[in-house]
Amino acid sequence: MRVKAILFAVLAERLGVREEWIELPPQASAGDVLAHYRPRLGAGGSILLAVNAEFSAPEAALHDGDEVALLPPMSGGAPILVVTALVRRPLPPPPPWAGGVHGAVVTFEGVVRADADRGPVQALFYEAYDLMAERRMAALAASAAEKWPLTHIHVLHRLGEVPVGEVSVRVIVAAGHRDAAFAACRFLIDTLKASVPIWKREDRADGSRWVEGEIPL
Amino acid sequence: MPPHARLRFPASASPRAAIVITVSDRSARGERPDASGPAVAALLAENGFEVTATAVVPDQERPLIEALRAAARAARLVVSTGGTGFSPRDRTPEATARVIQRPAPGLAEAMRAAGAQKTPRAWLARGIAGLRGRSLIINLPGSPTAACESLRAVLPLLPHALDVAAGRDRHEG
Repeated sequence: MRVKAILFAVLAERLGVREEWIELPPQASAGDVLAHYRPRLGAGGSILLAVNAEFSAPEAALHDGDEVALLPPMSGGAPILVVTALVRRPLPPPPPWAGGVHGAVVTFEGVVRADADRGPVQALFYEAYDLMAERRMAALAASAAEKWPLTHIHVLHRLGEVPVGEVSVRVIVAAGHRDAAFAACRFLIDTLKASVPIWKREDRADGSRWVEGEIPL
Repeated sequence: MPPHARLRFPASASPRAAIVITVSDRSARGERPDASGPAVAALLAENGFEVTATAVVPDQERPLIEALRAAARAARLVVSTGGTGFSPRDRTPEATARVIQRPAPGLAEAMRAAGAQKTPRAWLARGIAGLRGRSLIINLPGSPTAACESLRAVLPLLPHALDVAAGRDRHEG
């Protein structure tokens, strides 16, 4: 089959090719296009693939006439550090920032509150559909990373019992500038609460009740 | 560690504390972690480990290195799933090699040998294992079935391995 390979920026410059049709065996996948150029590119470098202008896995099957793009790391620079986690113990305080690579850091911490309309809360108990919660949290972080030029995202959510005064959720977003950091942090905590399958139960002296939230989207 | 690292998992003094890190496949659109993290966590919990955290990181070396280091500081057993294949995006063994201080190749070989009884493709798993301080780091494949089978192959060895690594049993190893 014939597919159109397109290269950008540093890749185009290094290979002296911006766009060309290449011949691949039938049943070829997107990764074969990368393999086609790999000897001239050398090892390493985090090159992403896109087929017909959509991000694509190397295994994605190609069809005759497809347009396959080799994308060098996007400007916005350093690879972004994304970690999302479900944690079953008290969250330790985060270590101090160092290195001076982030211009703006916004941290949101949700803390278990004692007061509720039906008397004092002793603890909250969090339960998750853990497989889906992991996927949703990672997907939210990925979409935040697409929307804003960020350098760092950590989203940590406690599971199990969380006593009053402890942190139940922490979102840390770092970016070059504050607008992106504030906006992304706000987006992450709001969509996390609305769409990640984690539920909470209020435990009081006189009993417990599950807190009804918004319907997951 | 990288100068901007800012991740801490809750530290546990328990000799059976474990953290599971799923290396997500940033394929197609966004991140789609395999289903293996929770399956591996459940298998560890059934076998006497206390899983204190499960995390998802993209399949890039720097976030993975940060997560592995933070996990090894906080738990005695760190298990990753995913990113061990031959695709250009699979970087887990490379990241792990930069974090471990003493390799334990036997564990990785035992996992491959067990997997090869089902499919010869198990020999294509590039996962490694080794110690960082007193913590043991093990790379499992990404598919839930392969990850659990690999882990089962070494589970009976882990309590003794962790005890010796902690200096609590000087008779063997």
